Amino acid sequence: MGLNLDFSVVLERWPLFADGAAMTLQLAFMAIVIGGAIGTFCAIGRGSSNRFIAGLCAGYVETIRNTPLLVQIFLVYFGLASIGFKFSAFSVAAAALAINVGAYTAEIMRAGFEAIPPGQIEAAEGLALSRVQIYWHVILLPAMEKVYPALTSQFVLLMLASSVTSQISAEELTAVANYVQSDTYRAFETYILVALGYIALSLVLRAAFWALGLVLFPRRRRLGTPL
Amino acid sequence: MGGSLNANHLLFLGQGALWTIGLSVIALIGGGIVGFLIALARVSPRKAVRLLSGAYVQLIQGTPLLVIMFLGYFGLSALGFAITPLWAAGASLTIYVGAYFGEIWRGCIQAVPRPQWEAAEGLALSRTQRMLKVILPQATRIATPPTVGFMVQIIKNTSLASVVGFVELARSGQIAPVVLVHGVGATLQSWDEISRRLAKHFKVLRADLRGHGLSDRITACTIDDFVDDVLALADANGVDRFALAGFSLGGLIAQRCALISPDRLTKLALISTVADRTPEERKRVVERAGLLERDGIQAVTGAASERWFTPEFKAKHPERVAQRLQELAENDAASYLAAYRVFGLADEGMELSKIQIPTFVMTGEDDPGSNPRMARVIHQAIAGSRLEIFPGLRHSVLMEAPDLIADRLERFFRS
Repeated sequence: MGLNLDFSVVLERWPLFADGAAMTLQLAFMAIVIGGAIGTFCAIGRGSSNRFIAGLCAGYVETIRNTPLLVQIFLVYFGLASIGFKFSAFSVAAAALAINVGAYTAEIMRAGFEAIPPGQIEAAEGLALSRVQIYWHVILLPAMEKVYPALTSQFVLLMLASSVTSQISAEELTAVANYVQSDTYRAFETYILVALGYIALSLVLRAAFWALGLVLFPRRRRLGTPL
Repeated sequence: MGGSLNANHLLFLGQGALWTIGLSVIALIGGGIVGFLIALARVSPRKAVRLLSGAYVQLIQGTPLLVIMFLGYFGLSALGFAITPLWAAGASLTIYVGAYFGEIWRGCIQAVPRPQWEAAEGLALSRTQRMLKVILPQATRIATPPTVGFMVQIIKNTSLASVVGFVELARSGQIAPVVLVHGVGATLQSWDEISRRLAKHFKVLRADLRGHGLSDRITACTIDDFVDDVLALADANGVDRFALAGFSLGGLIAQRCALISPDRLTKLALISTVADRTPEERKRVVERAGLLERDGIQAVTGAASERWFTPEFKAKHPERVAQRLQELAENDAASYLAAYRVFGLADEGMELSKIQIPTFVMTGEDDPGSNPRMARVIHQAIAGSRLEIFPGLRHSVLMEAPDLIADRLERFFRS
């Protein structure tokens, strides 16, 4: 029995897919912004001399990195519901994704911090820069510049991982695919189109990060090294 | 809330953990083999091989694992493999892990210092010897940390197999019941073997049409009466929507049902049925009806034997052929004639192109009465329908190839 592919029925519903893709990008954006902040603070906390804070950050990172995203999402979703907080699927999905990407970002940023030569910090202290100024200009920005490719990859992976939030009814691209295939009986065609959609979204996101890198890191732009 | 977490729950979770380990092992071994081949392809001297494997890696890495799992599960079903969720998840994970291992191990192969390659070449080692004796052993040492790191990812990613498994569970609950309709002069028993197989996955309903088997005798009826019989069978069992499979006259009844009550049907299977008779064919069928009226059923049993069964089947199972013909002869003459008249005339004016239900048309290649020409006409008239002509079979496909029919119906009704 051969394959009998019919894409037209599925292509008719392109507005639904467009909405789903928009939702995916929104989820990814929220998670990247919030998770990026969580991760950065966590990486700073891990280097702290206070043993409790360092331990807390390390514990957070190890727990998140060693458990599946699906389990984390269900924990946040059902956990919040059992405490009595009823948030929209989008909020819960964004929160779970932010917590998840925060842990991975923390590890990447920590690698970035460790790559800053100690001499830089000593020189900055010698120039009487405040702690905040040191953190921002000497540690954070150079570290981000060094690990920018790794961060970009992680964030694109996050966008792909957002497909799992379809399981808590966030109306992103995979959820739309599930709905369309149950309506048209054309599962194979639907998922092929959605896979191509995700590849396109990955390319768009990578291009956006590359452009952002040019804006944020003028030194890189001037030096002309590839991102 | 129900009972609190007890030993039974923990046992169940423990079993799930074993499945996680099992699936991880499948993904590791399968993905390892695929990944090794991809890694070698990525460093091949041939550009085409490098580009192709590179494209594969980009494709897989750019797609969420959940979408790959759905593609694997639905795609393998669409290709015709009746696959359990576990093996669908295993296949998807193999494809996914293969791409990532391919890239990781490519990096490790390329991390072996260039002088090693050149020294091996200088010692006149062949490409294979160079790979096996010099490069791969060193690459393996470099590869150990990232491989172990990715193994953790594999174990976490097996959690997505639960989504596919749940889809399978949810879909089994949603699959509509199946109604089977027999042909002229037959009874519900013509579906015995097929029904036994289908009943493992679906709720199966079948009945003797009016004038047949143990149902009431009739003197006249129309196609719509038969459709009423089918709908009454569904109603009596509390079934709202169902998949309908009809053989011969049953197929005509199914076509008519799809036209007048399409909202009741989810899927349509038309087996060895008729449509669009030519004037010649119509004349012959009218003549046969006349013969029946004059001389009774005995007049057509000889021809039936020839039209229904292949010579091989007659040679191998003469007692079953004899039994079937005996059954045919024992039909009530008036009821048989009434049903035969419907069979002979109801195809006229059947507006097949108006049928909008997913349909599967099948018939035997050598069936003289419900021939492949008619099957093609039906297939072309019903948009999106499937067609299969069985080589070497005549009219009695239900008796001669029950496993084949059951397999096709099962896959079609589940898809």
